[in-house]
Amino acid sequence: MARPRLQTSTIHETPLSPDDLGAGLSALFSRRIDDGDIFVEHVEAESISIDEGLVKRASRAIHQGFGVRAVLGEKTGYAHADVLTRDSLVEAANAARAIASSAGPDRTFAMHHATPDRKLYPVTADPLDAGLEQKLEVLHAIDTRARAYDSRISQVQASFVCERRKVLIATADGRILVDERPLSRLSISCIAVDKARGLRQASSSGGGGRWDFPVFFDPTTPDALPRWQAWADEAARRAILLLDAVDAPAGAMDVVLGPGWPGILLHEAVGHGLEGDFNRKQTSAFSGLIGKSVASELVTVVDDGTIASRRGSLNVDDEGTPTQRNVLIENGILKGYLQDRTNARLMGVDPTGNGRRESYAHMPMPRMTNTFMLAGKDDPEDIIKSVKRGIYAVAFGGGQVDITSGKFTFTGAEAYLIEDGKVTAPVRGSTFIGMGPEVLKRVSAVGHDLQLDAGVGTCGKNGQSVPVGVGLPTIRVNELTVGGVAMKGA
Amino acid sequence: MSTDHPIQIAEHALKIAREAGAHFADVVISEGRSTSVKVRLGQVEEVTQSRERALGIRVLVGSPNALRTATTSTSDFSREAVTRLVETAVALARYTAPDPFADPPDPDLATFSADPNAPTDLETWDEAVVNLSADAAIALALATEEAALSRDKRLTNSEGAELGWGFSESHVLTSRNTHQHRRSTSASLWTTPVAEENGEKQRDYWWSSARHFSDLLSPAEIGRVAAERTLRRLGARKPKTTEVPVIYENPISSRLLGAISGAINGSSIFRDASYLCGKLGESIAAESITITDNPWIIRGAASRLIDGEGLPTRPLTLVERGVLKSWVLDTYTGKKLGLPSTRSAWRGLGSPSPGTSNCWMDNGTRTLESLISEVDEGLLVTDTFGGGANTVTGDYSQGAVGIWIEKGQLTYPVNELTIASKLPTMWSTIDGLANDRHPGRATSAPSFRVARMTVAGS
Repeated sequence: MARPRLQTSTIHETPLSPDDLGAGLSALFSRRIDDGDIFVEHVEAESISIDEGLVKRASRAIHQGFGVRAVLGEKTGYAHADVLTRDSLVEAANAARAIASSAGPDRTFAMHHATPDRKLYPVTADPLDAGLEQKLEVLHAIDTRARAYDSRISQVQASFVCERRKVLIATADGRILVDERPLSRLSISCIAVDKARGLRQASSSGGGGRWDFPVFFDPTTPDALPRWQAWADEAARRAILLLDAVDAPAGAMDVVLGPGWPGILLHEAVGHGLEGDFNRKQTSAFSGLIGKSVASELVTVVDDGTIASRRGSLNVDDEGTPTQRNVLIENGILKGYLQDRTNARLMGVDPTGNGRRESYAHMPMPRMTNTFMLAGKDDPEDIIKSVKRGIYAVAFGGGQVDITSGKFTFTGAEAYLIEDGKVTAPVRGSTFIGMGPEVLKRVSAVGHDLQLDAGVGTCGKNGQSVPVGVGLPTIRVNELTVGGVAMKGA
Repeated sequence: MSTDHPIQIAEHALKIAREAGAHFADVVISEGRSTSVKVRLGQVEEVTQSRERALGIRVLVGSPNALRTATTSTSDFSREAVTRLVETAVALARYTAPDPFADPPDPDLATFSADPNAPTDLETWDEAVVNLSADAAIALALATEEAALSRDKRLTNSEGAELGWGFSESHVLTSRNTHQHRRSTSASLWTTPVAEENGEKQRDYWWSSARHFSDLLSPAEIGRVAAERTLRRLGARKPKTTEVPVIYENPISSRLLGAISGAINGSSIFRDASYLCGKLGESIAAESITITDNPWIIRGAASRLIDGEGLPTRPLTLVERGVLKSWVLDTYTGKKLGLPSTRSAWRGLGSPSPGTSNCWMDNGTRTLESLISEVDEGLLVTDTFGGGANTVTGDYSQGAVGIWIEKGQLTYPVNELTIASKLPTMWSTIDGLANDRHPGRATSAPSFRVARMTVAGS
């Protein structure tokens, strides 16, 4: 049977020629503005899922559009549309430039291709092009494997979602940059029910990246299980484990965070607070703290958009700036913010390659890419042994931060009590809360086991979602507030 | 580019679907235009204009009780693109499994004339919103921010004020030759002032949203509330870990109501993924709690006469005097549970799924002040963030901001704390209900008091 396939058009073949883009920029710059650009996007996406052992749903989508932006001082005008014609582009440019009132010098734009020679995610077997048979097969295998883990697994849902996002950025200096971004993700969730005890638990796992389809069938290390098997086992194992969990304790205590996804602590506690927009406006709890101590000397945090094949990586950001490795905190000292073009210009610094947007329908703003803490010297087991009474947390759900007060929370998905240096009972219902510029000062140990997450993170800000990564070595944080239901001694 | 009218394109898509052998197909066309203006510190910061349209098609292939489903969507309305889209959907459907529950909605229900008690016009459209000019909008946003910042000299900074407005329109056409059309306008206005005192920074916000321009709160009112909410956060302390009565202030109380509406959603129930599974007809909350889902509220935020599968809507009692009376179902989840649809389907570009419309919890008879006055030591919650309710297990733990209550009086603000309990316990131990539910919001509860919860701080 022929593979279902929507016809693809590469972004170079869109009805918008370099001439059209130049005409759009000319219309935009007919008013006196500081900066402006055109962002064109073409997305093909596919989603297929299994539920109750049946592949009930499959969908495919193809969407395209453009956004035109004019920037003057702190003002931005933005217009977008999904009809890719020269007329539509000029009409949008006229709408966007309306923020400016004085005429600009007549400018013509001789557009030229200037895409940097950088290939962080070359794919030779794009998951979007892989046959549906193979995807159905792995979804069924996941269902079978997770159910076989334990008879109390009552539901398994799994989905495979992939996209190919082609973007084109036409800049005020006449450059045209294109980037083709593959992205795929396997998500697995399990429900475990213990009828006799009237208990029910849920857990999820998964991963992905900007990589080839066969990667899902490879192990992460030579002696490990293939990724899909490891993730299926993880979802099932955790749901069963939690059936025996005790209520999480309440109060401030020492917390050990495991490696990988617990790096969401950094994302919430410091990452958002270091985004350039909040700091230019002085509304962040981190405003004015560059050069000051915001963490213990053991702590170095970077945001790196250049790691090959990672979910948060980009060749160029959504304004055409190449991504880079930005040191945010070095040995406890705050070093820098994450910038897009507008905020960098207004703050008198260089853009850092963090100007990102959800789609052509959204304005870019400073966003994280892959945010993690560098490895330290401590042995992870010694770190756990050092805690008399506390929590060992290895997996989390989501988190949130109030940028201005600096208070952040994140929710535990797999966590255990530590009693006299030993990991004991799993806990349920744990939330952690702290204050961004304070919490990393209480990091008292950093392990040598840095891991990046499996590739499932999505970050939301002002209603825009973008894929991101996080990472962490095992760390100990003293006196973090754990928001369980169980009172001490109860 | 095609110049076909969207309806012609939809009819074209259905024709192709029939020719390709689909048993049933429906097409959704959504179109919208919106503008937003954002100001900050007295200056225009962003002006955004959006025009969006998309087409989604769902095909059911095979024979009744064994239908296979697939969906596709696009923003390209050319005949060629839509033809390919439909053919792709039919081809995709050959890969999905026959599902005995995937039948289209009962034609008898779909053609059943609307309830005679249903209003004839929900007043979801307002020309004043459509015709609002950017200049007028900028003036209102500036006035809103100014109304907040001028109230106190400690309000030194701002995340701005924003007014967004526009309209959206959708058509659903089916291969049974039905055509539903719905359109609505909306406008919303918010401001977020930032207060600073002794090196401490705090922010909060207030907003108004409405279908009709004249129903928006005034800039003065939004600014006043935003300023008060922000100022009362200054001087926050971290409380000691303890167990006390907790009052959820409206509108934060509505977030817990939202968790209930998720826990009784048919999608969770048939998968055994809710702590309320098996509780239909049982007491799940205090006797004072009654929750209805009313899609017929004139100018309501989520009002509609027809649901996402074309079924005429009607009001639904979800919880009556503490007893769970109904799940929230579309055709599919209803069939899974052996029940008729509650006409609660919502439809984006993909497959329909159930959800509430205007989900309101009945007011009590008390004032918020009187609920506070009875608390010897406790917490008034004014904001929550992060995690929250786990509707699978019933566990509840969430970051919170609030004001500490001592001897019946509000004292000092508190933050960097969590509140925790179990959802069944919380709902059954609500011992005070205020009469202050906000009428302008889709999910809306009055302020209420939970007898005892764990507060974690230092």
